[in-house]
Amino acid sequence: MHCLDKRMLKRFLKLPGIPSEQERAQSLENEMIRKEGKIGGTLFGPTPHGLRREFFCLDEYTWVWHEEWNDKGGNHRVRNTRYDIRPDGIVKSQNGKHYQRISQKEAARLLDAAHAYEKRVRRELYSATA
Amino acid sequence: MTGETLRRSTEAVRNIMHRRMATVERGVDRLSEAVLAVDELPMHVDESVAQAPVDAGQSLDMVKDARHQIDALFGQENA
Repeated sequence: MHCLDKRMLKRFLKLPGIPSEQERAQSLENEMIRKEGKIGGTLFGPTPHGLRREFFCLDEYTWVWHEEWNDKGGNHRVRNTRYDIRPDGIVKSQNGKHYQRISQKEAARLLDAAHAYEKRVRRELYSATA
Repeated sequence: MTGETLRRSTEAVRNIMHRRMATVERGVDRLSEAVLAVDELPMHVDESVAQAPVDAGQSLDMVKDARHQIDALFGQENA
């Protein structure tokens, strides 16, 4: 068994306070998405000091760009940019509002990022399942 | 732990990993199709179309659902 599988199996078996297999499975899936998000956050180069960035595929119709930082006043800031994939195009919203259709240029960049994301998570997280 | 429990748990972990990889693959496929649709849009398309009034209610529900999922994903680290 691949070493990643062993780590995941150990995690799966020892999730504290989560008795049912279904809940453990959901918890582990969330953990996998968090790991994907960390990998996705590195696809766009180094982040400024104090900025945490995640980029991940939430489900087959949704890609999320998540950033957190503290502003100059010390206030914690969060920006969730969500891309909804629709048959006729891609719609973006930030922090759950301001829906807008994205440009061809942004769509092309998003697709490039998604291809890179797929390669990285396949290699770094899921190669043992191939 | 019995051998059977270990076998089932190993299978469960593998299934989760398979499912995530399949979701990502489908996500990239859907995105590729949508990007083609974006490319085919006329350049003069009215940006107000982005408000998507027909399914705005559904979209709001989706956002709420997504926020819950995002909170579930990042809540522990944000706490």
